[in-house]
Amino acid sequence: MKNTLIWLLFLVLALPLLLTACSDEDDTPATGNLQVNIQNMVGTAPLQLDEGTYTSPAGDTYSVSNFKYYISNVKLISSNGQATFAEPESYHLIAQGGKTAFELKDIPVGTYDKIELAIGVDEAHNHSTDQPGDLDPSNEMVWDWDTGYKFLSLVGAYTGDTESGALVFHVGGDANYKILTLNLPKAINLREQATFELSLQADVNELFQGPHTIDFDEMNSGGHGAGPSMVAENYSNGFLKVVEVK
Amino acid sequence: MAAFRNLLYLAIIPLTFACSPDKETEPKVEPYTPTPYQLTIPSHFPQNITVPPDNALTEEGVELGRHLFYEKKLSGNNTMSCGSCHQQDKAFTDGKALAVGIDGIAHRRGAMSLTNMQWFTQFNWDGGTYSLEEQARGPIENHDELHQDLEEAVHELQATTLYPPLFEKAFGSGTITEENILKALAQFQRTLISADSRYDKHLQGEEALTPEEVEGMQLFMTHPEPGIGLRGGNCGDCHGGTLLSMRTFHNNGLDDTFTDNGLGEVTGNARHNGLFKAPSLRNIALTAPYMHDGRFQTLEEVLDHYNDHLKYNSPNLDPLIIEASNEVDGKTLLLTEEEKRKIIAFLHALTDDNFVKDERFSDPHN
Ligand code: HEC
Ligand code: HEC
Repeated sequence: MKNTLIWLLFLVLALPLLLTACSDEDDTPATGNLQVNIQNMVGTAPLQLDEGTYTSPAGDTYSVSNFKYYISNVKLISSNGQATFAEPESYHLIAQGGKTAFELKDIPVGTYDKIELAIGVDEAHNHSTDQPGDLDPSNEMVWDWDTGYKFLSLVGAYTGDTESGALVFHVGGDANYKILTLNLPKAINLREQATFELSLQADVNELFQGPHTIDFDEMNSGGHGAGPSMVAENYSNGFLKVVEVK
Repeated sequence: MAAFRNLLYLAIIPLTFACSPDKETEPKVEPYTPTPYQLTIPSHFPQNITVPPDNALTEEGVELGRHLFYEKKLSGNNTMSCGSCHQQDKAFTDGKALAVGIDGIAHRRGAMSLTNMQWFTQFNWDGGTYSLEEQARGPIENHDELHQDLEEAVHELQATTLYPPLFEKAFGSGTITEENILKALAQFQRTLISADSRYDKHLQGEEALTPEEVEGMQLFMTHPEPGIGLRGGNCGDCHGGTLLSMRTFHNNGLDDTFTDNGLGEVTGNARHNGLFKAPSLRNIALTAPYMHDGRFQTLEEVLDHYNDHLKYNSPNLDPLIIEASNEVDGKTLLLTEEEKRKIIAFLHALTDDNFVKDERFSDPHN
């Protein structure tokens, strides 16, 4: 009895809302989409696997044969705190020569001026064989379920001042899951436009500097094991940047 | 029973006429209604598998494929079948370094274990074929394998009493075709799932491994980082994940110069010379000898290779191997004897006894 009363009350209150929603905004969709494109770079040059030779911040020459990382738990945020959108099952394996884009779908209309995302896999999913999004218990990013996934993998070769050899950076471990917030140069107003495109760049050289400059003569591998990693501290700082919103 | 069936036809004939009065179709003897095959995907395996849309698994297709897999008429002189080189009790290998075909000619490579192929997209040591349907033509026709003209096999099978009805049930036509032979073989092979070793039980939370095997597993999966005292065999870099294969191609340092270019032969890219598929190590204790040319007799020899005998001058040697050492500035892997033993103990925990005994995968002609 009580329930029915509440329902009636709700209906009476909601009816005008529903009616206005239908009458004056009927050509505005309730949701929009955002296409996210990522370009992997080294400084200002697009990353090319195998073929490209690059100079690291410490002055070593290097090339890259494999480059992959997880972007996860993507959120759109409005700075006035009015709206947040969290993509469900948000695990994207970005791979040079593979997936470099994804689409956030069914975003409730609103104005968003920040994007939040993480590099890595959150603790809850890092130690299980559950498979939302691009998590896959037999892809190249898997270690074992104690350590979890590799969050970022870079394999290549280098010639340093005193030594030359292989580069193997595998970064994982819960301590190295980093959440980044990036400001958007132009707000995404889904009332004005139903689909937006966001271009991001990921700069490989930023993995080797800021705060830690990595000299390959001294360190040509890293991240193995669950402890904090210098590369992870570097990737939480300047690795991903927003180029354009349109 | 037969009388009942005839009665049924009597009832159906007027019906078919009613539906299409202008067509003089004969009533179908056995309507083509194959039963979908329920493939159970282990929960800890990748869930996103794709079966070719034109070759969905059916009970009838899989059963036909099993008959064909063990059918000697698929060979030029009716002496061998796929099952001769891919024997179930050896996890579908043959115990030989190099496979030997019907003419006694040795293949340049060894027979591969056939497990969990549903999850792979490139087949053979060099990854040169891209579906199981496509792969199956090779062993039938190659002169160093079954050396049989596939068209000739079609005629031989058509002339039997066994096969036309099996094809009818599986594909809706008793007229045998090359395509349907390959499709049925592929269907059977997609059901060869091995996911019941002690390692699998460990992954599912059971205490199935001994402490030594657990240590072996950790060494197997870990890439060494001597700077922080982290020891490892780095095997998991290439043979990791729940499939025990990253499904990638590498040069694991067997030779300084190549007599077999592997993936390079397929892509024509010199950078790929000497790269081979990092195979799944499931049931590895049953599949000796090891490597594409069967050069190692035992798992001990394999571990000695990775630890002590890698060819560091081999072109395209994998960076994951070049870089891996358990000592700061170490040039080789530098595992201890005890660590090697532990890794081998773990490899033995990958044996799936139920898989090699599963009746569904055995020779139906016996
Ligand atoms: C003479 C022995 C021999 C016979 C008979 C044979 N195979 Fe094989 N099989 C091999 C060899 C050798 C390889 C590796 C070939 C290569 O890398 O070039 C192989 C590889 C395979 C693979 C690839 C597995 C993987 O994981 O990449 C499949 C699938 C396969 N065989 C299926 C079959 C089927 C189906 C038949 C019967 C039509 C068959 N084989 C008959 C020796 C044999
Ligand atoms: C860089 C990648 C890589 C690493 C690291 C690696 N392997 Fe391999 N492994 C391969 C490749 C590629 C092959 C096939 C090579 C061939 O036959 O030419 C192979 C073959 C094998 C085989 C033989 C498989 C068969 O069916 O014959 C065994 C056993 C094996 N590896 C065990 C190990 C162990 C144990 C380790 C760690 C000590 C290890 N591997 C590390 C890439 C790797």
